[in-house]
Amino acid sequence: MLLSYARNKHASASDRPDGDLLVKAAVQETFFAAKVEMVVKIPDLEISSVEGVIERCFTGECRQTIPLLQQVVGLRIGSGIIKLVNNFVGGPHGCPRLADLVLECCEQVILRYTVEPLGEILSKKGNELKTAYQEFLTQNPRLINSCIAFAEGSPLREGIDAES
Amino acid sequence: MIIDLHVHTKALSPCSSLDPEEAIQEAKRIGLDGICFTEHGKLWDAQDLERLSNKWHFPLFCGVEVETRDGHLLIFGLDNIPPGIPAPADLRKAVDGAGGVMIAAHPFRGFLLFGFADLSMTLESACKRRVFQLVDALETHSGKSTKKENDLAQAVGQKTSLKSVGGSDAHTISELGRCVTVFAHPIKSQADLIAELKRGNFRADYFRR
Repeated sequence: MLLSYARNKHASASDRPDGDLLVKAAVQETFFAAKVEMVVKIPDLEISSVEGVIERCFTGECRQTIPLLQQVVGLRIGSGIIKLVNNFVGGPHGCPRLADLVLECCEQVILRYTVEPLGEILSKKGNELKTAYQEFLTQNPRLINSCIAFAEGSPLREGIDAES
Repeated sequence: MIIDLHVHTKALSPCSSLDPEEAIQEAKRIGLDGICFTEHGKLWDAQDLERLSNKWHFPLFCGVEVETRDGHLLIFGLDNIPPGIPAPADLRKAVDGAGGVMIAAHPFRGFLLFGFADLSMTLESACKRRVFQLVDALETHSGKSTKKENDLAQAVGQKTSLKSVGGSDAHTISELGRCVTVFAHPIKSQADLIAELKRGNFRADYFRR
């Protein structure tokens, strides 16, 4: 019988003096604890180094998956990264939890460059907000129909054709 | 001869909703001279392709889109696709062994995302991607890339002297023919296609707006 369970997670990205990014992700839960740290080369967004440690896990076999992390070195954070990381680190001989930590790091890198511009959009009101969103969608056509806010019929989609 | 060099059909790519026969009819309607099925990791059976081509009296060709560590590659002329996620260098050896052609598909797709402009990616740094040393051409006109991404691919193509191809990467009927490769000479067979891709007698262009 499980009487208590706790899970805490942390992820961050910070600028290094050489201009690259240092990205960290850690999870601490009742059964599992691990952390991953990677350096991401700018402007290519290429993972140039990665380290990881599993501090607490289910079986000793989990720790044997740490060397698989090196397979993500050289990958670029961009289109297709989720499939690649899950394949290399979370595959049949890997650890899906470790792969998740790598992907948390990738997410941090993307947020590092997208949160601020999105914040600028959200600071606008009324028609200015609508116009800013429409400009955002025009620049990022792949987001069209990606969620209900950007689906057909949404005021944010007015004047934007999915096929354009 | 105007060919959409990058098309996925639901026959072999589960992510596509494009019926092969509907694709052919649409290609004829919009004025394409041929289409090339490039499914994800799978090749069309040559006899099936020929049967379809004969039925509709329309030139059909075949390649394959392979996922690698350095992005997607369009491969022509390779009969056995390596399993898993191959390294581009290994794929290059296999393609050379088969006398085929290897092209970097949508090389900057998704890279120039909103907010990523302050990454200050220069043309010089974009040209340094390792995979560009290994391919025969770049897909500089991709129907699934933004104008900015295609512009960067074209600039890289000019700087690296790599030839440019165009393909829609169509997964739906309305996407077919958005980008094309215009060949200087008629392409009558798969062998012709590979030979012309090697000779470089073609250019990439936008087609369907």
